[in-house]
Amino acid sequence: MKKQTIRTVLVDDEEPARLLMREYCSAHPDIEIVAECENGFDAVKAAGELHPDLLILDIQMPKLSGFEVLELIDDPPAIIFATAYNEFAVRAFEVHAMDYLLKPFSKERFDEALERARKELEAPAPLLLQPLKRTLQPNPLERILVKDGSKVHVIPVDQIDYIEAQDDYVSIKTDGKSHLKQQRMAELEKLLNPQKFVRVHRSYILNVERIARIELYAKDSRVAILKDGTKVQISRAGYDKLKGLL
Amino acid sequence: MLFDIPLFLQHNGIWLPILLADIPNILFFALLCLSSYYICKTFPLQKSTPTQLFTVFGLAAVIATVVTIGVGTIWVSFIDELHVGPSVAAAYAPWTTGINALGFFAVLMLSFLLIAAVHYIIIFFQMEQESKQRFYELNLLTQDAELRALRAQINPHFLFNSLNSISALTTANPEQARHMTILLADFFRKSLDVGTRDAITVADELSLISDYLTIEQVRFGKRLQVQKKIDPSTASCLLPPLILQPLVENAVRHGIANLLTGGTILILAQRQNEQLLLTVENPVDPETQTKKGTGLGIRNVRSRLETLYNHSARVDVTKTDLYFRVTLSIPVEENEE
Repeated sequence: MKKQTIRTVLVDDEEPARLLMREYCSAHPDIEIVAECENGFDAVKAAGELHPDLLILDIQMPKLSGFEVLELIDDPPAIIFATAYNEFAVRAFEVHAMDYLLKPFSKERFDEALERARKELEAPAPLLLQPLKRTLQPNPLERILVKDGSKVHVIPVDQIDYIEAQDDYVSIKTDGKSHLKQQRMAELEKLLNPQKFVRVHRSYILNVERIARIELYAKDSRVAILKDGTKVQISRAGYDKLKGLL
Repeated sequence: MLFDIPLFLQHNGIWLPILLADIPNILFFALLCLSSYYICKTFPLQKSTPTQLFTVFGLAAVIATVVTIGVGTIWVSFIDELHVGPSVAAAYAPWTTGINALGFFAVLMLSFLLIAAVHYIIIFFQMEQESKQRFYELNLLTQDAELRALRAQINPHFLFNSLNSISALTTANPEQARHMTILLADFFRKSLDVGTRDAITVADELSLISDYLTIEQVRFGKRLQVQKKIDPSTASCLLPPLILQPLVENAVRHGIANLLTGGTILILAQRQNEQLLLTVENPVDPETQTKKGTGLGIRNVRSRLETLYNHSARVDVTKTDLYFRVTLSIPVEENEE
């Protein structure tokens, strides 16, 4: 049987760190480096386009952390984390990383991690390869990541005016722009800070700080006028929740 | 009150009006005397000329005495009106008329001055106490800073990442690997050395920072640019050791490290009037929320400066969506050597 190569993507924002991993990998003919990325955005793009088998991933990177990269990849490959920080180990195993390398690491330690990944890829245990995406996010959520083709938008939650439900998607409104993300309202609602974001209606989550005033709309419903003039419907239950907060 | 004892003996039944008249009078005078504390505070002994002290206290003593006698006289005549016993004014007459009145005046003035002198003594002890306390606080803070500086030098992530870079360069570029090892050693040695001193020159601190930034530049490559504008006249100015370095470290960790394409850290040193101004500015990523830790570093710098310079040093922080800037303003003190 012909041995298949393991298509690998290296992700680290530091050039020397990538250099080292490249060197360690060169001793393994079955490891084929298909891309080197110096930031999370590139990593998400590379994963989407190249569908690698293995991702060797730094955690502390600008804009997107290693964990956020994983969140944005639809069909995550096997993961080996490589970082100078030991405090993320628990989270790393929650997302079923193959291994967690602490910088600086030896060639032997790196080989061991590769061996582990190799075994896993040869006899895949599909369940293990599925990261528990939803447990990844810090609580409450500080920013929302939205994938738009191969581009990634990072939306700090403070910039959100309101969120509107659209079938299986949520439409996140910021500054007159809207971003579509495949997520359920109830799920997103749980992740947001309840002091700032209130589900005022079946179809709306509202950023409380954006409310300019609330007007009576019909007998049992009200409408929130946002600072930019947008009107958002409020149900009776939603109004009760708002009242409790304001 | 002592003056009253012979009166008690001379006149029968005078004790009630005397007490009614004297107690409020004495309390009133005591209040005036106690208020001399504020005059003492306003004119500290070390900072006032003898002429100043003479004029101020002479005037204050005269005013206090005149007011006391005036108010006292009115009060005494009021008590006499009540007719609870023999006239107090009459009983006092021997002291309040003729040459004796001058003596009485002098006694009051001297009492006032005596109390003022006591206040000076109390203030002296208070200041001694305060300076002792400040000394201990400062010691504690310096120790703390040293400890933190040590921890910063052995900031695990800085060290581990640097070692990782060295490990990478060992095969690829042995020369640079050696260079980085030496930089790292230099940085550690310098910070251990300056940590034991009370004050170092701006030039020394900047050289330490330079080592630090060169090491980080190996890791971050082109993402980390540095621009320095150092007024040469600041080089020999003194500052507490490792006061600027934590700010530069913050600029790298919370500024540059969060930016995809990096940016330029700006370091300025200049003199303005008699103040030394040191500025560290870095670009920030508007989408990255400030993590905890930045504030702590600045708070430490602020409390160190406050303990050392009281209110003559300042820390100004400016934060916008695009950059973060800290400016330290420290009184100029030059190295004599």
